[in-house]
Parts: sequence; C-alpha cells; structure tokens
Amino acid sequence: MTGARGVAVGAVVVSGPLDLDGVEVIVGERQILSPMSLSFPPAEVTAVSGPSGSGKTTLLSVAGGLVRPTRGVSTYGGEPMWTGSGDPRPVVSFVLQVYGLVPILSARENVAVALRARGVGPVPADNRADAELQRLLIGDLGDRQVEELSGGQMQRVACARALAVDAAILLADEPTSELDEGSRELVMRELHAEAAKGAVVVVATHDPAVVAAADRHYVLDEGRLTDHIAPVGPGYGRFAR
Amino acid sequence: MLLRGLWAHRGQAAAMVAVVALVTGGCFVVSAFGSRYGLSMGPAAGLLLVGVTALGRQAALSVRHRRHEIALAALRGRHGPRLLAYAVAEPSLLVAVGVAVGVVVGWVASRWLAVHWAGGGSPTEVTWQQWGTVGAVAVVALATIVAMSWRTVNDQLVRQLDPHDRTRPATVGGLFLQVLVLVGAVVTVYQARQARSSDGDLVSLLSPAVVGLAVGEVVAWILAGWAAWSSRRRRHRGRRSIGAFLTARRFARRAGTVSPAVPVVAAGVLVAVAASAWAAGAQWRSGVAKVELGGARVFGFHGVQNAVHATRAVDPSGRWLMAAVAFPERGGGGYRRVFVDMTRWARVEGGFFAGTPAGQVTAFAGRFATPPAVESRPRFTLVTERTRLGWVSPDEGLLLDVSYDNGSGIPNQAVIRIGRRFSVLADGRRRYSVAATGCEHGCYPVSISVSGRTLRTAPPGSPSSKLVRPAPLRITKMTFGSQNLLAARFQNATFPGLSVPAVKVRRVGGALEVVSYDESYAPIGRLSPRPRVFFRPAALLAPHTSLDVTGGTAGTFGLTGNPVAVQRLGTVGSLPFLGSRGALLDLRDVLPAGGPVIPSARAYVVARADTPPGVLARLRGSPGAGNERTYADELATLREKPGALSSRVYLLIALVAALVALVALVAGIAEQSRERRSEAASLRLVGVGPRLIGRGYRREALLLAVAAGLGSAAGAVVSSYAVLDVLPIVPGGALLPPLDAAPRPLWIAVGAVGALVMVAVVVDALLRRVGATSPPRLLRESEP
Repeated sequence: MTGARGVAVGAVVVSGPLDLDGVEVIVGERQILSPMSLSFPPAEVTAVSGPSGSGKTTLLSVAGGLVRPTRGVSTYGGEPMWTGSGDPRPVVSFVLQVYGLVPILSARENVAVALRARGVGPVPADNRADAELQRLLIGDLGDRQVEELSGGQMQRVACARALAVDAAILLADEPTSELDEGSRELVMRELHAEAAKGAVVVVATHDPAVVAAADRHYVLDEGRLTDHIAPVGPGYGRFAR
Repeated sequence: MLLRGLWAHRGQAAAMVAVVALVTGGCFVVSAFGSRYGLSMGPAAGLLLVGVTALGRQAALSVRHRRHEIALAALRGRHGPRLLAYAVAEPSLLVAVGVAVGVVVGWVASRWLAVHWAGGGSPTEVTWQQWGTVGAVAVVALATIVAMSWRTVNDQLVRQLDPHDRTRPATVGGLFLQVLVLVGAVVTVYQARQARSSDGDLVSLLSPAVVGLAVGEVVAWILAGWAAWSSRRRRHRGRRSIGAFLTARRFARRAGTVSPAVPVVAAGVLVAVAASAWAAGAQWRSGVAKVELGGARVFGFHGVQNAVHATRAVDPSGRWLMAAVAFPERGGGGYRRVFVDMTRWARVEGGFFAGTPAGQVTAFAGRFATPPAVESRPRFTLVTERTRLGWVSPDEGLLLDVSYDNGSGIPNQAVIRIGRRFSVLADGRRRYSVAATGCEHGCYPVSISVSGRTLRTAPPGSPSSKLVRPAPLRITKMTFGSQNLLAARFQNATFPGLSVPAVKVRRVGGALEVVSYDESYAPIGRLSPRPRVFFRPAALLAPHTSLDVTGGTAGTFGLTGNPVAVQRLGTVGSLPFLGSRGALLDLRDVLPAGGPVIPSARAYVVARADTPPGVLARLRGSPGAGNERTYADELATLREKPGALSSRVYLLIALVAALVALVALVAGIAEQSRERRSEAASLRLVGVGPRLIGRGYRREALLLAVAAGLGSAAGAVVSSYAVLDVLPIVPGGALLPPLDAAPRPLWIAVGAVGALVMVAVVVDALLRRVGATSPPRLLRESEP
C-alpha cells in the first residue's frame, strides 16, 4: 500500500535520524525551550523525560512539525518538519497526551481515517484498523464510539492509530499515562516493534518504567537539556523484541 | 462571583439574553396592539412556543457549560434546593436581564410600529395585559431553566466531573417531549380543521409552530436515519469522500448537529403561514372592497328613477355609467338582492371585478341582456279521430287541460272541451285548438289532466237510448306550440283512495287512447323533461342563496315588493353590493313605470374608474345625486379594521420568531465550535487536510439547509391547509365572501428558502474556517 504522498503504509521507509538543530522556542518573553541540538536515531526508542513544564510536549511538537521553533530547525531526511501550516508531514504519526481522537467516530473509524487520509481504501483501511486494535488487545471495541471508552482504552486507540500508518517517525506524548502495567508493557513492546522496522520512535514520559524500556534517554528541565543517556545500558530496552 | 461566571460564559449568556429579550419584546408588542385594537393574542402563542424551544436549548447548553461549577458546588456541600438555586441563579439573572431588555425594546417597537405601521397614535401607557404577558414569558422562561437544571443537579458527580464532554443517551423525558410535539402537531391540525371559522382557538393557532417543531424533529430523525444507513454501507470511496464520511457520522451520532435547525424550521413555517395569511387577507380585503362598493366609483342616489335617468341622460351610450338598486339587508336571508342595468355591465365593470368571485357575473351578463327566443302565443292543439262519443248532458263533455308555467308564479291552464268548437279535417278527424295566454316571456307545459267521462251512446232508435258505456277517445296529435306532447309519458289515473282506474290511457300506434270514468280532475301526464325555454327576468345567485318556490316556480321580490318569477341562471361566488348571499336581477325587467318602490331600496350609479371628469361632473349635478365613494376609500376603511392589523401583527410575530430562531441557530452552532475545532485538529493531525475538512463542513451546511428548507415547506403546506382560514385575519360573517385559504406556493417558498438560506449562511459562516484555523497544536495539553 502506498500513500498519496509517497508514504509507504505497511512498511516503514527509513530516511535517517530526526534532527533538531539549535531549536529554541520563546513565547512572549518566556523561554519554553532553550537552544538545543539533538538527534533521534532510527530503529531506536528514545525517551524524553523531565518534570511537568520542562518542555517535553513542546519538544515533540517542534520535532514533529506541529509548532514552529523560534529559532533552529527540525529536519528529517534533509527536509524541515515545519511545513508552514502546522500540519505534520505524512511521515510522522503522533500519540498525543489528550489522544486527539475524533469523538464522533468509532475506535475503528478513528484508526481507519488516518489510513484513508493516506489514500487507503475504506475496506482495507477498516481491515487494517481492526488488526491494529487487535494488536493492542482492544479488537472488541472497534464499533464503540471513542467517547464511550475509558481513558486507558482511548489511549490505546490513539496508539493503534499511530502504529497503523507505519510512519517513519512516531512521536508519543505520555502514551502510557492511563495504562495498567500489562497494557504499558504491551504498548512499549509495539513501539519497539515499530523501531525495529526502522522508525524513529520518541516517547515523552514521566514513567520510569517507560524510560527504562527505552533505548536512549534525554532529560529536560525548565526547557533545557540536562542529561543524555546513550547508548542503552542493561535494563534499557527490555521490551524490545 | 456570579458576574465572573457570567463573563466566563458570555457567549451563551448573550444568546440567552437575546432569546428572552426577543420573545418578551415580541409578545409585548403583540399585547400592546391586542389591548389597543382588540386583536387576538392567540397568534403570539406560536412565538412563545418557538421561544421556549430556543430557550430550552440555550438553558441546556448553559447548564452543560456549568456542570463542573455545579459539581464543585456539590462537593462544597450544597445539596438539594440550595444546589438547584445555585444552578438556576445565573440563568435566572440572564432571564431577568432579557425580560428587562425585551420590555424596553418592545415598548420602543410598539410605539414606533403604532405610528409608522398601524397608522395610529403612539400608545403612552403600558396596560396590565402587557405586564401580564411579560410575566407569563418570564415564568415560562424560569420554569424551562429550572427543568433543564434539574437533571444536571441530580446527575452523578462522576459524570459532572468527567473531563470528556460525552454525549448523553436520550432521556425518557426528552423522548416524551419529542413524541408530545408530534402528537401536538396532529391534535392542533385536527382542531384547526374542526374549527372551520375565522375565530380559531388557542390550540388551532398553535398549529404552525407545533407543526414546524414536529417537522423539524422529523427532519432530524430522517437525517440521522439516513446517516446511520449511509454509515453502515461502506460506499465512500477514496480520500475525497472523507468529508462525506465524517458528515454522515456527525448526523448519525450528534443530535446537536441538527437540533439548532429545528426552531428555524418552525420559524420558516410561521413565516410562510403568516405571509400567506397576509397575502390572503390583502386579497380578501381587495375583493370585499370591490364587492361591497359595487364599482370603481359609486354614487348614492335618492330615488331609483333618478339613478336610471341620470345614467341615460349623462351617458346615453352606456360607456361609463350603470344604474343599480340594492337591498343589502344584513339579516335579509334570501331576500338580499341587487338589480343592475345589465346591458351596461360589461363596459362599465370593465374588469373591475377581475380576480374576485364577483368577476364571474360578467360571464352571465350576455344572458341577461339577450331576450330569450320564446313563442309568445303558443296554442294547445288536439286532433282526434272521428268519434261517436256522446254526453249525458250538453254541459258535460271531456275536458283536456294542459297546465303551463309562464314564470309568473301563478299556474295557468289551457282547456279543450271535446265536442265543441272543432274543425273537421279532410280525413274526417277533428281538430281542437285553444291559445295559451300570458306567454309573452315564454311558457312551458307542466301537466295534462282529464275530467269528464268518455261515453258512447246507444244507436239511435235503440230502446236503451239513455244507456251509455265507456268508450275511448283516440288522440292522434297533441301539441303545445311547437312541442309535441304526445311524446310525453302518460299514465292511468285512479280514483282517490281506490285502486280503480279513473282514467285509462293506452298508446295505439302513434295515437293515445283515453278512457275516462270520472268527472273529476285526474292528471294523466306529468310532462318531463321540461323544455328549455328561458324566462325573463333571470337571476344570478350567490352560493348561500335560495329562491322562494311557489307552485313549482322560483321567484323573488321585485322593486315594488311584488313577487317576480325568475329563472336561475347560475351561481357565482359573490355579488356586487351583497357579498356571498343574494340574487342579482336585471334592473330593466323589474323597473316599475312609475309605481312605488320599497323604501329600503338603495339606488346607486356605478362609474368606471376612467370615467371622464366631465361625465362625473354632470352626474354629480344630476337630480338625486348623493355622496360618492371610491374603491380606495373602501379599501382604506377595511384596512383599519382589526383583521387587517391582525395579519400584519401575525407577520411581525413570525419575523420575531425568525430572529429567535436565528439567535438559537447561531448559539447552537457556535456552541459546537470548540468540539469542531478539536475534531478538525485531530483530523489534521492524522493527515486530513483543512480543505477536505472545510468541504465536509460545507456539505454538512448544505444538507442541513436543504433539510430545513424542505421541512419548512412541508410544514407550511400542512399548516396552511390547517390554519389559514381560522386565523383571525378577516372579520367573520356569513354574508362576506369567504377567505381564499388555499396555500400560497410563493409564500411557502419564501418561508422555505428563508429557512434554507439562514441555515446555509450561518452554518457555513461559522464552520467554513474551522478546518483552516484549527491546527493540530490545539490538541496539545498546553499552548506554548
């Protein structure tokens, strides 16, 4: 399956790391992100942690092209991620902290609409959506409208949607915040699976278990990059297949 | 704190104040006109209903917005009545402000409208009726708010505090209200059809608003049903159809998508019905002014002869003037009548009555003016075979009597006595003939009777010369003028109370044999069908008129009060000077040479609209000329009557209802903007472009608009049939022409297109930019 913008759906097309070069975000007089340069390599799960308000979400938004940095640039494959409209490039998929699901759609339709936006036909999209929901053990919720689901179920639907499109970059903001331990391990395993296909996977999290499961770890505090743990040590990446 | 809360919900607050103010102001104006001009307050009930519906939705939205605040208040220890009081305090304040604004707006509007619209003076005092109306609006508004708050106050805390604004399943109460609206629509339509008068009750007058709301609900159900069916079918293909895919899901799963359009449908119905009523009332007044006045310019005259002489002297050619005499007794029953110089009708009327029921008179004018072809001196003729009938005495003999009708109302007979005054034909047959009198305007035979016995005497010299026995009379020819009476059907006559024949009739070849055993009068033939002979004078009748019938002859009274036998030419919708009851006759036929005329007769001279001033001046100088009155004068008088004002006030009510619906629509769609923006941002996050989202919203606006337009049209047709003739827009009265209560397609289209455009413009304007202005970063937990 090939998307309308040349994105392969069904196989990750790798174009190198996701690079942030001197990015800085200032809103008004408040510096949300201090100038920083970092790289998220493909085929790895990178964790970004830090206290609330440290800039994790902003970092992911800049990395994925949702927010334009005040200075600096985020690039992937030599192309800037900021397209001018705030819409992410098709190579990116997100799991947002607030899920970003469409409330009038069912769980299946929420996943399928992402595929259909990439040119997949309705029936294959629905079939693929069912498979993705099944992958996260919520296959029986496909017909339920998302607003009928619990927070944890919605979070898994959001993960399924992000996984379904086989994006080259998967940016997940607190993807396990409302999940139980078993579900968290399941989600992390699937994120590692995406990384194993060559995708850039970045996870912003407070959860030490998620950090422990990542291959690489950045730490933010008050918008500044304070620590970088790489490569992985023992215990890191324990959910990798 | 209350003010802070109001500021936080200022959008919803403004909408609620606007709705309450509009409903209050509208009802205030209606009650101002009602108390001043004696108008019915009934039509305002429709506005109140639409207002309550809009207010209910606003109150529901307001409570929904405040559910977190209400939950926090509950957590702080408020329960029961205290919590309810807290919940209703803010919207109650809004209602109070709305009522106050509505009173001010209504007071200013009623003063302005009284001067510039109704043509009256400016009212200075506010009546108790107006204050009562304002109080009723306030009470209804507060009751609606309390009812809407009740559910939230009694909701589970966990639901009130849910960060996700989840759709609630329909409640039993909500379903009950929907069913109530549908049943109410049926009941009000039935009640309106039962009323069948120009003074419908409150239930009937609610019909357009209730039907509009019911149709709006049905439209919502149809859209939801279509969307659900469409969603089940995986027929959307390709990326471009994502918009249709989303539209179908929204209609299927968000009742709030269509519900803001429901008051618009009701308002569209109200506008269509009110505009139709206004048009019907204007048409009715125009027709009534023409019919009641009798012509473009009418002069009253003292004396019938003066009026007739004036027309002949001033306008001998009959181009401009026409005399008329009317007996317009309001309680005259069948004796309302008008006599018009019909030879001048076509030219003087000149299309003045075109478009009114009285215009049908012109089609009959020629039949008044052309004398019918009649045999003025018909003869009753018999030819019998040679017979040896004899008679008991010379005074005896067989009498054949034909009764005929000459239109005078008095039966006439032509009698032939067999055996006397006959002529013998060449073949020996005997011919009898007698003239029928009084047939100057035509006659027709009605029946044939026989009296006397047909006896045969014994041969001469016979000892029993006095012995007689019955013998037949053979009639070979029997005519009345040119009419062959032998072609009629004949029958035996029997003695009264006995089955024994008094007269036997038998056809023998082409002849008729008659044997009579009785000397009394015995009818043997009722001649049918009657030959079509036209009489003068002729009468044209309005629908609710019946002529007197005397001796089988229809008649009325002439100018002198004497009975006049008339023939009914036909029936027309209404007659000049008389309205929907009465008879019109040709003045020439009944004009007495100089005898007395009934004192109540009113003489007129009708002048064409384009009568030269010189002709009019000479007419004014004619003996007996009195006051003159024009069509414009008559129309102006009718326009000042309560019915005319009612139709305008009803139109005003409908327009205020449309404004209420507009506010409710804007508020309802604006209320969705937060969810829509979130939805658009979510779609853009997964790659659906803003253009595609915009197209989906535009399609949604179009579908909603078309549905609202069609719903309004359907509701307007039903309501027009139901309620147009029971609206108090024309004065009642059996003598007045009826209101043409047929639905007006033009005004129905205006209401429907108005609803369509309103929905299309508002929804498109509020949603068109949502896709483009909702980037995915809106979904982030906090904006950088």
